[in-house]
Amino acid sequence: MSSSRGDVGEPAARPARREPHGRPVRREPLRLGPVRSDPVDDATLVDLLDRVIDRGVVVAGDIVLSVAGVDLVHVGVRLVIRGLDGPLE
Amino acid sequence: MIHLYALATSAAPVEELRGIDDAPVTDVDCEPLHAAVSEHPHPPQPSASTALRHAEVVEAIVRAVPALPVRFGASHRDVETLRARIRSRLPELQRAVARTGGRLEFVVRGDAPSPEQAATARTGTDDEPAAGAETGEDPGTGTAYLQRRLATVHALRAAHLAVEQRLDRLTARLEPQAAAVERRVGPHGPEDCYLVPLEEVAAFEATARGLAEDHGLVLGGPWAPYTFATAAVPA
Repeated sequence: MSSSRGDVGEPAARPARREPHGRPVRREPLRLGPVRSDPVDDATLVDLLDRVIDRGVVVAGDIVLSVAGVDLVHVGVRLVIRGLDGPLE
Repeated sequence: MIHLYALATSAAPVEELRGIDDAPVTDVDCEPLHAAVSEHPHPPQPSASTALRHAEVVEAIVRAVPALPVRFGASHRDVETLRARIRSRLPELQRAVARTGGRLEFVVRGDAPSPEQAATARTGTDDEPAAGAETGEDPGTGTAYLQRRLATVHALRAAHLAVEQRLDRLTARLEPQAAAVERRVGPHGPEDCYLVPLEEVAAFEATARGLAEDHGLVLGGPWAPYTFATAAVPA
């Protein structure tokens, strides 16, 4: 695990611990796994992308890619989704 | 520029994770929460592959420690700015992680018809419906066009309601296996989202997959609980 109080990426060792509700916290290094079963033909790919760009916690950030208040990251991914699956609206 | 993936109640072992643009994922102590972030010289590209890498990192974290998935698409200037913003919403973020931490999300939905399918279903033909034919009106007029559009809207609304009723009927037995259920309208129409504790994920998936196969429904997940995090911390 790593932790930082100043800059990003500053490592700091911490002892293994348990969460207050008793579930043991995993300590071995995490690995990326597939979030969908088939990278090409997955009926739920659009469902996942819709969640990633439209749901989840928002901690207001500096929207950098924007023109006239339109978030281009959001728009760009929306266009990709349309390409994958036809119109969303 | 800081890209934020998830907020957790403890530091996740992210030292070997690679995030967007293959940047290392690190933990930032935002006492009492921890932020999983990566640092970039530029904002992320607005692409599906970038959004999917975000999702992969989020998923690894929420499976390891109680954490909230963060929506893709916003960046923070620096760590101190991020900490200040987390502090300003700390009570609701803590309530949200208590609700969704250690849980994953499934979706069960039908396939909603497109406007063309809905129109076809209403008229029983693949040809453009001649609404004016019923009234003797020229189908080429503006009134006929608006009548066709209105008929399609009504057909879509009816199809939407039918999907909801079908979900109500078929998915009732999934609800006791979930910590929470939300009915939403997704990109394919009505969908039921289920919040499932990690230790129940395999049992829930087995039941839901059987249901989906038996009745032609679509099962998605398990994913990080994006839908439930949204409900707990409205944007």
